Amino acid sequence: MTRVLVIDDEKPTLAMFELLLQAMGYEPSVAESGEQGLEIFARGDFPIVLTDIKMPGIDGLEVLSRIKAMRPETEIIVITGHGDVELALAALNLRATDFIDKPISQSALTTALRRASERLSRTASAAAPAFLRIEGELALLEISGAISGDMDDIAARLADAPQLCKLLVTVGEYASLNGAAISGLTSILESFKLRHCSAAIACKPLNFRRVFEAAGISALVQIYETTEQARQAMAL
Amino acid sequence: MSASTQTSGRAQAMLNRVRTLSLRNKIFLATVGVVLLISGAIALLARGILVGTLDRELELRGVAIAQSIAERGGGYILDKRPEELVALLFDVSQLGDRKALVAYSFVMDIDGKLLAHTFVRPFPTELLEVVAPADSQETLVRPVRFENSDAVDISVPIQEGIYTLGRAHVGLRQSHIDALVAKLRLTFLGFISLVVVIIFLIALVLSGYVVEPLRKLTSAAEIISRGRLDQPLDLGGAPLQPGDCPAYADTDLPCWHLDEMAPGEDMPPRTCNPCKFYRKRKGDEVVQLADAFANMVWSIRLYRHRLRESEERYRPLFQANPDPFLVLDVATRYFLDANPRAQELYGYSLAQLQDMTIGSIEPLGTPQGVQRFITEGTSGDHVLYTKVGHITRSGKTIYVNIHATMAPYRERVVVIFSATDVTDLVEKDAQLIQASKMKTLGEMSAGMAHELNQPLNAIKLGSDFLKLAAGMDMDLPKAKFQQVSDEISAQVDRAAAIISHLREFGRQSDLMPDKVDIRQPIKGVFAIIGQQLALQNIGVQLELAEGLPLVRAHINRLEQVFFNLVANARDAIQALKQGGGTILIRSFMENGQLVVSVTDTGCGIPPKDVPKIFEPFFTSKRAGEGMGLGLAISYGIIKDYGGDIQVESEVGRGTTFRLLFPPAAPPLNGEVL
Repeated sequence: MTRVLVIDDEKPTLAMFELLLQAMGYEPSVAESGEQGLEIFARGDFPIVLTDIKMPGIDGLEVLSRIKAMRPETEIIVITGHGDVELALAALNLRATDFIDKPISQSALTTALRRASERLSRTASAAAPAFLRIEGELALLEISGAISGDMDDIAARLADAPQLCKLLVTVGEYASLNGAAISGLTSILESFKLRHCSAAIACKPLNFRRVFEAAGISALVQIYETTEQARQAMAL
Repeated sequence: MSASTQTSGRAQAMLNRVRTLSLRNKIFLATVGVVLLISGAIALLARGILVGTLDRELELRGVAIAQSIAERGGGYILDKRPEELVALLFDVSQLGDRKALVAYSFVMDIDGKLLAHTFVRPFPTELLEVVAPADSQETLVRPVRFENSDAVDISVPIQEGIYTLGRAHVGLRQSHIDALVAKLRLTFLGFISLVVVIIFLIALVLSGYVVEPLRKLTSAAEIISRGRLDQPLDLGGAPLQPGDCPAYADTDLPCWHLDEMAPGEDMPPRTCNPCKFYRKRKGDEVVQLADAFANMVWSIRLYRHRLRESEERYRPLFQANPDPFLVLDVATRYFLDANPRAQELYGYSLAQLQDMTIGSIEPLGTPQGVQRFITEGTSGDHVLYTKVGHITRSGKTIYVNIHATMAPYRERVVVIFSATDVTDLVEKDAQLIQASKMKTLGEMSAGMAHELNQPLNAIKLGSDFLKLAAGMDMDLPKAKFQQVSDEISAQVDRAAAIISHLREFGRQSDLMPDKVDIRQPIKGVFAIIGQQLALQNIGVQLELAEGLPLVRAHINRLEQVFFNLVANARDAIQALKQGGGTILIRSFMENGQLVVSVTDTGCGIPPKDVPKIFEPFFTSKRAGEGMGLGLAISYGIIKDYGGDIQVESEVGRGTTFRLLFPPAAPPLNGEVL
């Protein structure tokens, strides 16, 4: 059973979390504050941490950066208020791998935890999180893992191939992008737009679609849920 | 009733009759009475003295005649010459006017033999019986009666040496004596009567002279007392021409002769010297009284004229004033007067208002207002009450600013008050406060969203757990089931409480304030903003004293004020960027006022900004972050409740806002709580 640490200042929420996570087959530990959370995290082995952002005392972002400093490979899912995308972005910048909105539904929780587990196993297998393929005039950028860094090399490779006039970015179900990656992606898409080339994104995780929207990417390109939809729209 | 009281009663009645006599009759009767009394006394005295003297005088004359006979007759007796003796008798007693006095004379010798007499008829023998004894040496005076007539017989001895020769008798006629006495008496009485008549006439004239001016004064006073002051009064002297008096024509000009000068002030330059109206003639007391009366009448006339001028000048101010004015009797609380504007405002005619008490337009228990002023004010007080709720005839509540003053008016103590209709302003204020409240609600929305998300989150997790358990056909222990369902229910309540609080906060306040426990709105604020403050690491310390008096206010407006202050405190703490701070709220009594202090450990307010913070649109925040209306509106709200806001601040150390409230007034008599 995967051990999960939940940090939230709301006692009722914690109690429900505990019950639900147990029912979902995890082994949860709970902490009522950031301080307590860090203490428990330091004592035990938690591959996945769920933390609320807004907490009195040490808040979620602080907890996030300290845990990342202690064990960078920990999958941290932050819990944000509904629609609080800016905080989500800030968390992603601090190398959180995912975020879920309050009120948390079981499906969102399941998805987030499954993707975290998936990313953990991918990290273990050390597969490249992003992969660029070129199919004639189409550049296909597949993001399947957690990208926590800039995308300068990919941007450079695309700039080296001026014959490309179509770009399809696919964001896999277990993918995760941090702030740098998102801004890197944004600049790639901007440069494509400047070349009057068409581009599209197919993004499976719903919350990342929202982040793209918040980051202004949706103003540059159309975002689709599945690769098929994107391909159809680009008439490929 | 005893005899003495009966007598005294009669005397009293008599005295009363005298009292009711006119002054003229009194003077007249008194004078005449005194003169009569004196005359009577004189007459009595005179009679005694004069009549006695006359009698003696006549007697002496008789004696003299008799002695003259005795002297000269002695020789004739010795010589025995009776003819000579008779001639002497006639000579002496019948000479001239003695004839009227002397009735007879005769001489007798020592033996009682008649020697000579003056009777031409036989000698009345009865005279002889009374003349004895003849040998007496004394002069004898005796009344006698002879021949049916009275006389006084004077008998003198005739002596020659030591021998007595006989006696000479002279009879004085009593009728002549009586005639002389009667004549004297008549003359005297006549004189006395003349004197009385003269005094009578003098008294008549004198009393008339004294009484006539008094009668004139009386009739003048009667005319004046009937209010006909402007009729010419006949008080002597030249008639008054009011137009000649500069002070009569110009009421701004003081009349220095009639108005008392301010003490210690020298004679002012504008005086009438001599005054044409202030009279002081030379004369007796009656003239002086008439002058004093004329001066009094003039003074009254002048003041009445001034009063009328004043009334004529100020009546239009009352009548045509654009502000409603009402006059209220303090004792009865009935209206005495109202100007047309007041009649228009309240919808009642003057006659209707005069049948109404203040309670008909001002609901009982209005915290500020005319009724409170009546019970608490004293004569000469002047107060302003703002936004007092009054009810018009149509039943509509209007809001008026009341300027009330207590003053004597027509022999009564009254409250005169103006009631300026500020209903529009009050409604606009309420709208502004409401608008600002909506803005506050907007500012709170982020915190509210967070606050609502917490219970929703727990509910969602709990219900998903149940769903999962159901879907997985999990064997759920009853305790867990219970725990989840309880938690869900509690969280739903929590969310509902937040929503209902929000709704209460956003509701438009009634225009009339309630009595509020000050802790309620303070706690309400932290129900909304408390969690948010905790997340920002801002500690909240509440030191709310128990048992403080209530205040008259609107609970959600107070909440708005406290929210505003707490939000400002929060911003001030965050502006310091220390990552935390404390807000301390205390409530306590000080100098009879309820004080709530809100202290923060924030950035403070620069001294130059302190006087400006309650100005509308003053803000230290960046554009778009605040309108700068919060404190201005808070200030207006607290002022509306008769309170005050004070501020103390030190840059970098923090700020303390002190809210002062008057405790809700104790109920007026008869007020039903």
